[in-house]
Amino acid sequence: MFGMEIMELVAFFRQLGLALAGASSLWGLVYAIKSLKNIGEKREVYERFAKILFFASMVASLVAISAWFIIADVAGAHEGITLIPTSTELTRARALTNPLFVIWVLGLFIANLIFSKKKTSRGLIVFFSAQLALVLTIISIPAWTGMFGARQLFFTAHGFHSIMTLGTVLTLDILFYGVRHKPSIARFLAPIFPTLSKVIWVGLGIDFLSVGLIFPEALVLSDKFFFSQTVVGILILNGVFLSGPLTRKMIALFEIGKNLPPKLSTIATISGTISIISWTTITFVDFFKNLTLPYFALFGIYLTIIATSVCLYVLFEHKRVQKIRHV
Amino acid sequence: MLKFRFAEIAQMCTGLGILISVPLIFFYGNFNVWFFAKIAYVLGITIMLIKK
Repeated sequence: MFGMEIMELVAFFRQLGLALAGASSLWGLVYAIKSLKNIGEKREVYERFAKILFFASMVASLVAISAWFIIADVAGAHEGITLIPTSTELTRARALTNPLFVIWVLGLFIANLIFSKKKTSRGLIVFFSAQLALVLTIISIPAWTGMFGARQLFFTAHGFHSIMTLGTVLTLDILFYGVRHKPSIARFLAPIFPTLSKVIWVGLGIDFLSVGLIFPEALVLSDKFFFSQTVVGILILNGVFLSGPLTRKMIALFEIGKNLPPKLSTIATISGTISIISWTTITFVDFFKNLTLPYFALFGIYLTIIATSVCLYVLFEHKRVQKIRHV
Repeated sequence: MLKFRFAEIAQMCTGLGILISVPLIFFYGNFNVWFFAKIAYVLGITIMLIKK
């Protein structure tokens, strides 16, 4: 349908799973270390964040590993610039990453056995470190040219930056969604927002830098390319607003123990929705080599998904407020 | 009233640059704005990292 193949969809889910598993391990590691370095309430809250991210990484690992079982061929290039790996490069990458996937499955099995009794910060640090190293290696080798040249750097940069961009955006949303109505906990989450934003900006910068490594044949002026560039532009404008004045306002409110006012909460939701859907969209469209949808159709679908997500949120929020009033 | 910092305004300019470059590439095949916006973005991020 529209030049999309089911295996390309599976490959997209593999990348999504890897990006979230990597990012939740990275930020889970940060929170597990922070919980060890603090005492009292701070320690408890940071440990709670690390545990939330442990479950998020489990779900993401399940998605990535399931997709790996089905298919391992990844034609990963982002923001519409396509450099398709050859079948030899994909086979080489598969041969390199297969043992890592096996180690990952075994590691997850052992970790679940250990953590079924109790999750300690020290144990989580070991788990997150090992998982981050594994995922980082796997995601950095979507294709293997046989040597470290410009072409390999292109594949590697386009692979691992997903942890810093898509994965970190998803992680931030998971954490924020869980605590947004609990200012007593959210005030511990808010201070890391600027750091998270920086990591996302740097990730996008790495993606832009790797554009300098592309070959002329990689720049295909298709509807997909123009659409991706439009989404990147929107993503930057929205990101500046979200990570700038909006985050500062939220931090200020959380620090004095206040909840987000409904208007600000809705604006933050719209901005967050645009961010998460934009990142997912540019990753998604690049996994479909022969996408035949025209520019305006792609843009229409993109806007419809954003509008639907915001409407659903407003509806659920309205029901939640009504429920609280009845209680 | 929303207050933007200088670095944020600069970042917004790169975002706008990429948006503007879409019709420029489509109608005239002109990549100058596109490349300039991306290079400016990377430079901006580098400065942000060095400053902190």
